Amino acid sequence: MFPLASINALGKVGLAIVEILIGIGFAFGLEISGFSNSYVLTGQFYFRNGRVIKAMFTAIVVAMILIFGSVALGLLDYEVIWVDPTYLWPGVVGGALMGIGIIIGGYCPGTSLVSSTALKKDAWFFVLGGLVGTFLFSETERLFHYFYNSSFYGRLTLMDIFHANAGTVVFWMTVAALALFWVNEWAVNKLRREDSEPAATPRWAPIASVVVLLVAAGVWAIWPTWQQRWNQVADTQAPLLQQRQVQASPQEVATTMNKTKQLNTVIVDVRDDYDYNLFHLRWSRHIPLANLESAIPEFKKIVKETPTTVFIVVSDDEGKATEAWKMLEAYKVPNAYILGGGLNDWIKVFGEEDLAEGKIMEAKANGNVEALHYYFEAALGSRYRAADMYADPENEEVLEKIKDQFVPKIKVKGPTGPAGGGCG
Amino acid sequence: MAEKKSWFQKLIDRPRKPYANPYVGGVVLGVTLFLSLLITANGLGASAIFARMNGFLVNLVAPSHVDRVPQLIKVAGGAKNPFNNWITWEVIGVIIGAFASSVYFGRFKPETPRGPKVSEKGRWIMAFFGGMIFLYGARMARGCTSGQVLSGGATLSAGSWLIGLVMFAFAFATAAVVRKLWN
Repeated sequence: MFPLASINALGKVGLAIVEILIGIGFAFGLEISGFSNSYVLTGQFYFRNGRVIKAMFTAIVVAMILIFGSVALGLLDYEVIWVDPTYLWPGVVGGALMGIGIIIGGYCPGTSLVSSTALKKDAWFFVLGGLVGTFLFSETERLFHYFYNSSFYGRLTLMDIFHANAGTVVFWMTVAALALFWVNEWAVNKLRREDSEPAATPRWAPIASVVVLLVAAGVWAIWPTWQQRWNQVADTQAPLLQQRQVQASPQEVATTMNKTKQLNTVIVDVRDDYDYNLFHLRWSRHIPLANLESAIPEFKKIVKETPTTVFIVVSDDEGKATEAWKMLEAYKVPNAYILGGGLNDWIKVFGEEDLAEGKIMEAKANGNVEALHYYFEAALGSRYRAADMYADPENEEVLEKIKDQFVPKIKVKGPTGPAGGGCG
Repeated sequence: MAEKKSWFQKLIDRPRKPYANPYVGGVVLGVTLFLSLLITANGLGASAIFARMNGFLVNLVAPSHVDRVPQLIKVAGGAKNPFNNWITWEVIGVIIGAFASSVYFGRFKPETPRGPKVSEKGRWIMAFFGGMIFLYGARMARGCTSGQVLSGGATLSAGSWLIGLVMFAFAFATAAVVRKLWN
């Protein structure tokens, strides 16, 4: 499973060599595209040529298709690679300054390094100015520290914006890029002055466009459903189910909730409305199984903010919760557990008072395992002692009573992912 | 007596070849970026080296000042080596690659590319202030054309696409305002 860096397969020296090779490829791609020369680079913005849009968006589309194709095939873990976090307004202001800077300066940081090496004297001045700009930023950041850290959305992707899976987004972004190329070629041929180079649409452009479009459509077509994703991780995760390593007993779940000072316990009730209204744990979140997939990005966000989060999926018995757990595993939501024995076991353990008061009554087994084995006087939701008091994070008396009644299963793993990255 | 050329002059005098088709250049960049993410989990970057060089220089001149600036303390100060980061190796590669490619294709020449209405010195001043504005913006946006627009674009970061769109919009608008700089 890639990326390699996440498994430390390379060592420090190996990684340095790889970075050097990557730098060489990076510079080569920029240099042959014409970006070792500010006059050629800025030509895009006067439509003397269309080089920046062509090279840049080709690079984005090629890399995007390769990345998400690999993710779809289960070769690359998208959760581990660096995706720039979104800071909305600082990004807008920074982007605007970069747009002004590239015209006046004639370069961007990467191309200025390439051009400086190719002895372009203006690039040396750009690099000097760039250092001064960086110095000014580090010295003035305190004046707008609040703004610089404002409008933070974390690892926000276009999939979150469009509410679509990555395969779909990849396909439509490819379509958009091809349309952009067409407009760019048209604009260059229309607007360029006679002494500048024509757009020079290569003869193979239509064929290449069709091939790229087909590959992008392929990524869309093979984009795995959550069941296919589960199959990719089933080898390691399915045994945990069979060995009952992820089914936490009601006593343990109650204890974990009581420990909220250290752990952020998220109880996810995946049953349908009817059963949920009859009885549910207080502080549980009601997300029916059918809607669970769309809640995954939110879970990821919770984990990002609070790495010590434990997810506990809950259903009447274990059936639906197990499905839900598989989905969470398929999407690599960390620290997901099942309420062992479901709410039926919860009531069995904590329902003594409610049963004595007649609010909850035992039902005759009707053979349906995945159903509540109790009758309820009314649809009181969480207004039962079993649902409220025993799920109360403050109730230390209960905690004391049950502390030796379970074998602990819940182990919280720390955050995974790149330690840092991007232009950090 | 024929003047003997130095090796350096020989590199400079190589005949200038035309640039490649930028779509081909784009494929090279795209594959490189993909391999980078596949192997190192990081994309491409450039503006970070400016930040680290800045940290290094400030630490050299005024070490105590580093501790008081949040932007600097991230990269320098104490026992921290500002260059102990993947970006340093990548930039070494960039310099090697740029040298090899520009020499091979005969574009390794001391010159000042500029618009026909701008003097050489004028172009230098522009480049200096343009670099200043660009890098100020790149620090604000937490990445530049390579770190945000290219890498973030390919990994479908929403913020990176926004930054890229705003950057292109402002670049075209600025170009329209200062036509004389390059036309």
